[in-house]
Amino acid sequence: MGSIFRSEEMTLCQLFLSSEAAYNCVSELGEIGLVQFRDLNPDVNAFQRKFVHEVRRCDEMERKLRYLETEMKKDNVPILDNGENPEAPQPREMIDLEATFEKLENEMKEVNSNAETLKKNSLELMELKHVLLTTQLFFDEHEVQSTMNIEQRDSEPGTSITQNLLPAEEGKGPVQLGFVAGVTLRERMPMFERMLWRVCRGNVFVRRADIQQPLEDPITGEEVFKTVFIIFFQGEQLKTKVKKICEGCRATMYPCPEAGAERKEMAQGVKGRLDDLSTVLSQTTDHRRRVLAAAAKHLRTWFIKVRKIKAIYHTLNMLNLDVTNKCLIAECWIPTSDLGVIRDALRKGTERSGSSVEPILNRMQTQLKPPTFHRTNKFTSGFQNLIDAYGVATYREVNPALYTTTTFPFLFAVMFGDAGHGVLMLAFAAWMVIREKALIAAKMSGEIWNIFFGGRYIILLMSCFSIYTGIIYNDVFSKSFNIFGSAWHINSNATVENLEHWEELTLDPANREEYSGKPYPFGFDPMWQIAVNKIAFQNSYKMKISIIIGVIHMIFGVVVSLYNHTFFRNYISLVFEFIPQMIFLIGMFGWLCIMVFIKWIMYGAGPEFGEERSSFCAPSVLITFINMVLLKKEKEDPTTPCKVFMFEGQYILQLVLLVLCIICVPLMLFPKPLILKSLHNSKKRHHEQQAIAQNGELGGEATTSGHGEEEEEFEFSEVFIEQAIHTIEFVLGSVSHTASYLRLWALSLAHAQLSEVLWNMVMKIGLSQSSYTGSIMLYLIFAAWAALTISILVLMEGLSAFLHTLRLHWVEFQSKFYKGEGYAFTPLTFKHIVSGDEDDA
Amino acid sequence: MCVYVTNRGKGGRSSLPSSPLRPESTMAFCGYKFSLCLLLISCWGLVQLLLMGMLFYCETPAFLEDLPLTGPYENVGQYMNDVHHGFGTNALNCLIAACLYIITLGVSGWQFYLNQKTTYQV
Repeated sequence: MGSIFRSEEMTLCQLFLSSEAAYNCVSELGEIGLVQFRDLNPDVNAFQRKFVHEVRRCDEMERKLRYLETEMKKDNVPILDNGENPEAPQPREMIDLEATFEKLENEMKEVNSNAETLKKNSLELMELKHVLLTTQLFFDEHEVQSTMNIEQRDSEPGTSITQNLLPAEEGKGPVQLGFVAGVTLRERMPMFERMLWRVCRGNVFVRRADIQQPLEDPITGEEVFKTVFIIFFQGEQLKTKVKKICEGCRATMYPCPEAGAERKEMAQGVKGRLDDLSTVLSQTTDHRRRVLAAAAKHLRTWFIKVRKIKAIYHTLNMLNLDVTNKCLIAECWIPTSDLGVIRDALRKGTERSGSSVEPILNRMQTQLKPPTFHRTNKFTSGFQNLIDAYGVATYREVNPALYTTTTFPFLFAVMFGDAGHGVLMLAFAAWMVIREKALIAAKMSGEIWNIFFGGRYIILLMSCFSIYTGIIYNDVFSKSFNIFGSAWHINSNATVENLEHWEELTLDPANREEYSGKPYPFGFDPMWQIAVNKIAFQNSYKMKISIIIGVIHMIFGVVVSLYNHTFFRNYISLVFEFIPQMIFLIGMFGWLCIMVFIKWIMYGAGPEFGEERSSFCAPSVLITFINMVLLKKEKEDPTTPCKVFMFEGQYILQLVLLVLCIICVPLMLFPKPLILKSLHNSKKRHHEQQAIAQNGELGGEATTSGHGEEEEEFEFSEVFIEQAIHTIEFVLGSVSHTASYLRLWALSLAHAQLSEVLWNMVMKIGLSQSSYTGSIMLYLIFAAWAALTISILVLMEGLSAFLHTLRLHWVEFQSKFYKGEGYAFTPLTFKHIVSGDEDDA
Repeated sequence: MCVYVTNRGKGGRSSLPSSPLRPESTMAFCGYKFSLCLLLISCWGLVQLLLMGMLFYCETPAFLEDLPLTGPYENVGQYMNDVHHGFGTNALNCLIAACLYIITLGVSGWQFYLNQKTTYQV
C-alpha cells in the first residue's frame, strides 16, 4: 500500500545477473529509477574495482565533451536541446563514441593552434607595417630638413640620413650612424628609454611614435597599445648593447632598410602578405565555427549518453562477482509494491542484451534498517522537501508532510493576513504554476529563482489562505472593506459642541443604539479600522486564537504519535507515553482554551447578559490559570456583583485537573524504563533456558540467538536518562511551545502595522494634494508605494512568516511525535542526467 | 549561463542576435527587465487606481483620513464642504493617475515587445 501517509514498504532483494545481461539490466533499472543498490565492495579502493578502466574512459570522454562545450561557449554557438532522452549505448558503441570525440578534439586543437600561429604572423606583419610607416615619417621629416640644409650648405642631394653631418675629421674614417627600429608595449616605453639612456650613457638617440589603433595579442586575445621606436647609435659596441637591451625589455625589432625606395617595396610586400593572411584567418575561423556547429547538434545527447554509461559502470562496480565468475550478484532496496515493474525492466534488459539467462530477483529477510521512500508528485514534493530538511522520517513512520500541505499555508496565513498582499502573491504563484512546463524547459539558472520555482505550489496555497485570513482580519493594504454593513453606529452624543471638546467619541457596545447587537457576519467589523483602540481589541482576539490554534496543533501532534505507537506495536509507549501526554496537554492547556471559549460565550456587553456576566465582570483567563496552578483561592469582592469563578465548582474541577496532570509526570518518567528492563531480563532468561535445552547443537540457532543478544544490549541507566530527557522535554516544552505559538499574533500585528505605516507615510502624501496637479504626484508616489509594498511587505514579511511557520512545524509540532532518524532512498536514476543538472555521480 | 535553444516546433527560426542595423533595437530605450517591471507596475496601478477613484467618488469613510483637510474649522458646514471637495479632488486625481498608467502601460508594453524579439526568454 503506497501513500503519502507513511513511507513505502521496502524489501532487500538479491539480484543475480548474467555477465552479458548485467549492463543492459542496470541501464533499464536506471531508466525506471526505483532501485537503490547497496555497495557490496565497500572496502575496495576506487582503483581496484572491476570496471575502473571503463569509468576512466568515460571520464576522458566527458573531459573532451567539456572542452568542446567551452569552445562552443567562447564562440556563442547555440547548443541544441530538443528534450529527447537517448538510451545508454551498448558497451561496444563506446569505442565509436571515443573515436568521434578524439577526432573532434584533435581537429579543434589543430584549428586553434593554426589560428594562433596565423594571428601571431599577422601581428608581426602589422607591427612591421607600422614601423615602416613611422620610420618613413621620421626620414621624410629629416629629408625635408636636410634638403633645406642642403640648399644652404650646397652639398649633394639625396644624402643618406645616416651620413655624418659634421665634416669628417682628419685621421678618423667616416662614421655612419646605425639605427634599429622596433615595436614595444606603450607601458614599457618609459622603462625602455631610461634603460637605454643609462646603459649607453646617453649616446643613443631615441625617437618614438605611438600606434593609434590597438593590436590584438594572439595568445590572450586582448587589445593592447604599442609604440614604434627607432634608436640611432654610432659604433658596433653601442649596436650590441642596444640589441641586448631590446631583447631584455622584450621589444620586437624589425629590419628596416635605409633607402626610401626599398622601404616602399617592403611596405607593399607586407600589405600583400597581410591581405593573404587575413583571408586565411577568416577561412580558419569559418571552418572552426562549422565544426563546432555540427558538433553542437549532438553535444547534449553525447553528454547524456556518457553520463549514463558512467553511472551504470559505477553501479556495476558495487556488484559482487560470484564463484563461477559467470554472473554478478547485487543487493538492492526496492519498494515492495514495485516488484512487477522491476521484473519487467529486468526482462527488457535481458532481451536487449540477447542473453538467454533470466535474472533472478530474490527477496531477503534482514535486520538492516531500510531507507525511507516517500512517493511524491509535483505538488507534495515541495512540502516533503521542507520536512526532509529537518530530518528524513524513520522507516514507516507517519509522514508529517501530508498534514503540512494544509497546516503550513494556514499558519503562514494567520501571520501574513492581508488580502491585498495575498492577491499579489497569488498572481506570482499562479503565473509560475500555469507556465510550469515552459519554465521547466527554459532551464533558468539562479539559485533564488530555483528556490521560488520549486516552492510554487507552496506559495500558491499560502497566497490563497492569506486572502482568506485577510478577509477575516478585514485588511486590504491596511484598509477595510464594508461589505455587509457595520454593526456600529454613531450615537446621539455626537453633537458639534461635544466634539469640539472631546478628542475621541466613545461607542459603548452595551448600548444597543451604538452597537446593534448583531455582529458583522464575516471577519472584523470595518469600524475597527478607524477606531483608536483597534490594536487593543485585535490583540485580545489574536492572542487567544493563537493559543487555541497552537494547542490544537500540539494535541494533533500527540494524536499522530498514537498512530506510530499502534503501527510499531509499541504498547508500552501507548499506555505510558501517549496517555499521560494527552492528559497533561488537555488538562492544562486544553483547559485554558476551554476557559477562553466559556468566557467568549458566557460573558458579553449588553442587556442580554446580566450584571454578573457583563464585560466588567469577565475574569481574566490568564490570572485564573495562574491561580489554578498556584492553588490560590481568591476571596469574593462584595462591592461588585462579580464572581471570581465562571461557574459553580470550577475550583474543584481545576484542582482535579491539576492533580491528574501532576500524576502524569511520574507516569511518563518511571514505568517505561522499568518495564523494558523486566522484559529484557525475562527474554535473557528465556534464551539461556533455550541454550541449555539445546546443549551441544551448534549451528544456526545459537548463532542467531547470539546475534540477537548483541542487538538487545540493555543499559538501564541509558534508557532511564533517555526517558527522563523525553519527559522533561515534553512537560517543560508544553509550556514554552504554547507560548511560542504567540508568534502567530506577533507577526500578524507587525504585518498590519507595517502596512498601515507604509500607507500613511507614503501613499497619503500622494492623496493629500488639494489641487488637480496632485495626480502627477500620485502617479509617482504609487510607483514608490508599490515597490515598497512588494519588497518589504510581500518579500520580507513573507519570508519572515515562512520561516516562523517552518519553525512552528519543525519544533512545536514535530517534537510531539517525529523521530526523523531514517535515511533517504537514493535510487539509481537517470532523471537528473536527462534534465541537465550538474550532479556529478 | 549557457542559453539552450529549444527547437520544438519553431520551424527553424534564426537564432543569431539582432544586428545593429535593425531599427527595433535602436528604438528600445529600456532593457528587458526594466520594461517588464514597468509593465507589471502599470497593470497593478491601473487596476488599483481605478478602484480607488471609484471608491473616492462613492465617498467611502475608510478613506476619510486620506483627505487633504486644512486646519481647524469654524463650523460644520465648512468642514463638510471640504470633505466633499476632498473626495472629489482625490477621485479625479486617482482617475488621472490611472490614465497616466494606461500610457505607461502602452509604452512599457511596446518596449517589452521589442525586447522580446531579441531574447530567448519565456
